[in-house]
Amino acid sequence: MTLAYGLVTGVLFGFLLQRGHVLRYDKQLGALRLVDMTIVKFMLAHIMVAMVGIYLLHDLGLVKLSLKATALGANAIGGLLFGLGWGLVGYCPGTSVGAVAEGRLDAVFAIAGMLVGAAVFARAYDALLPTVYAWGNYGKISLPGLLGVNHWIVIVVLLACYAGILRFLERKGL
Amino acid sequence: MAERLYAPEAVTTLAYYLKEKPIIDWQFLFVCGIGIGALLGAVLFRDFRIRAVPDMWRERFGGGVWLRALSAFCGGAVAMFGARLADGCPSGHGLSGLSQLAMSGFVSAAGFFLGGIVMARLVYGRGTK
Repeated sequence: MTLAYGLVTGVLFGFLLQRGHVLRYDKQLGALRLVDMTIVKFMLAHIMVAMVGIYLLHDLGLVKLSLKATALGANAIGGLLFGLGWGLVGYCPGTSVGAVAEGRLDAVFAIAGMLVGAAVFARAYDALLPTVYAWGNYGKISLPGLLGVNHWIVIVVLLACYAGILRFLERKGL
Repeated sequence: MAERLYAPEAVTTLAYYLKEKPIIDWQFLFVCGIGIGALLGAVLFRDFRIRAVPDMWRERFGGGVWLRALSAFCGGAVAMFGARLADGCPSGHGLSGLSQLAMSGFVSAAGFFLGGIVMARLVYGRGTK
């Protein structure tokens, strides 16, 4: 059953990513060059809706959160490395399959590179575990947990911030 | 997943694969679904077009297929290593992580965009055109 949910939500996600134009190299680089914020707006809109929805369902006891562990060293260094690669490749690992499905042949080479990167990582994992992963390892923490306040306070503040960013981007015509 | 085909012994010995088992799980099907969904969207709305070089790349570096393929390959390898290390990409940390207010999402997303802006500046220079 979980497998079927995975496939169905994947199809929906892929369809919406395609219609949102965010699979495109030009949109991803546009955001990183700060000239076309389509994907940033897509992400912010997604987060604003999902944040409220997920925590509503969570408070009703219908879903469990699935927080990724916070390891500051791994998150920050991995994040920066990802960004440097992203600026070159222009596709995200999760959605590059969708880019191929749109007819983008360069994404095939991107996926080939990703498979190599993943294989190299699996071999480096033993060395990374006692070093990078040990730096600033806080386990599964969330912003409201860290601040010690109710999650709805954080959500309302973030909604206002994100709405402000969206308004700014729209005004600038990005 | 792919390593099961060409390096089956690595899958049973490397610690990372013992922790993150390369099996067909819902996440694997989710990625397959993204391909199907994107194909549907592109075909239904007449948006499907075979192309090997994105427009923005072509404007700056010309239509050479192999230069673009090389940049995609190298960028993909570095990005994937980073995504594995950070345990997520703009979908997993950016969308899913920030929606759940995870601290790891905020830290990683900042890294994604910071690194990405630096590389985009290196590739395309300062100008906006």
